Amino acid sequence: MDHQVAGPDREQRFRTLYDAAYVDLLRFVRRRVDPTHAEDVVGEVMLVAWRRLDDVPLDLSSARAWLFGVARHSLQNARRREERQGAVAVRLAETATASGDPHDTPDAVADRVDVAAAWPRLSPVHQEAIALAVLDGLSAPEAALVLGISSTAFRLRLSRARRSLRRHLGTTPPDARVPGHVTAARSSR
Amino acid sequence: MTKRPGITAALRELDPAPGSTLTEQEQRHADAQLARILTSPEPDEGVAGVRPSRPGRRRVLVPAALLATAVVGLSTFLGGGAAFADWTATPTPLAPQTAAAAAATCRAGMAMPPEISRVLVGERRGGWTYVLLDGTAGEGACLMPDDLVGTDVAGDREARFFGSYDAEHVDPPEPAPDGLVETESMTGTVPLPGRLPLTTVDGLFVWVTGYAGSDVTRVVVDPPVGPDVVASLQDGRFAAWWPAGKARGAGTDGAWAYTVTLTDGTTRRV
Repeated sequence: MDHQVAGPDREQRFRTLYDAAYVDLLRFVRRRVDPTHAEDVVGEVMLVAWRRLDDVPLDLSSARAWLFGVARHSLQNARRREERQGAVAVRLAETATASGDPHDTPDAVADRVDVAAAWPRLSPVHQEAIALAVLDGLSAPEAALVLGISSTAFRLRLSRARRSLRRHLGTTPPDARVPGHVTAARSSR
Repeated sequence: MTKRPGITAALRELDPAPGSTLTEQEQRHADAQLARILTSPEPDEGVAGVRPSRPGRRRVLVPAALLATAVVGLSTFLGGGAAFADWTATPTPLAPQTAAAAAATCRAGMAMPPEISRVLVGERRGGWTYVLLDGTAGEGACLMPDDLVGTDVAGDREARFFGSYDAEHVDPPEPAPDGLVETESMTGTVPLPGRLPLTTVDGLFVWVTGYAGSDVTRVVVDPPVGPDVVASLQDGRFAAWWPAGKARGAGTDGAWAYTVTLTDGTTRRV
């Protein structure tokens, strides 16, 4: 990328990025590793961003996705060599029955219990796709940047993930068609 | 997203990281981490190779905790927790022959001119050798593992070596007889194993140099974390270095202090 900055401007730019993205990055990592490790990982990712600041996209949304991608890569590298290319599994909270919301309804509790039970049965690839869209709140292009694939490939992956989740929840026939009209999409990995 | 209402809501309610604000403790950690990152070596400051510091870089006389200049050097060495395992708070003076060999390595590694030949301080702490040199062409210092002493690291981009070189002449300060003046403090980083397998975090070390008054016979540094560090003291020049923990630790968050012992046996905190 061609937006090199130096000196005080460089530091100010990094401070702005750090302040704006730190919480989101910490949440992203906490969804994927033991929470006691999360701040270490965030520190490593931010150090990478500081040293490669010229590579970080200028707009915040893309920069946040860039940071998520570095974090994901870091988590992949932390695994055994033969597993490094795979998806990074996402965990959910373990207390499905209690939300702390006084207006919690029995249906809402049932939904959480069902989703919590179905989630481990999803493949890490599908967990990752749904989490990027629902929990991390990324758009398809941003999620695609994190995964290093095309937006089209991500949309297809997300559709399959949603279908798989519905199947595990017992709400979709096993032979239901994949939603959408994507006819060809190739992942880069 | 599904035929059942509330699945997306259920997913969000099962978010293991729901909070969008930091606790006070998390905020303090984030602030401290930012400060450490901003004082870490930038790519153009030599994190990937041995490189002389810019000639003429002025030394500054400021309170120690306010100054954290990156030590030029490599961060790609020792890849293990044993990096400073055998570090000692009390230094062992180098024998003249070893000091000369370390000085030669230092000059080669930092591309110093041969005029910088006088060894002001030469010490060993565990497996690490430190030398402080001066001469008519400036002043420099190096920290290296013992196995590099006497070797030529000039062309070795993978050498495990830290150093600084200042070609600018600076009039020496004149400390009070019972005082000292710290002229330089620097931080360097060494990769240490992270909590996750195959990851690393930046382990820090700090080094200081300065001038001690004529009545000072011993200088001890009191870092914010860890044991007191006995500085090497030779002809009014002192130097010391110590591991400062992982980058997320508290080792560099606070100021360090000095205690000097005077010729009459009394001690004084400065």
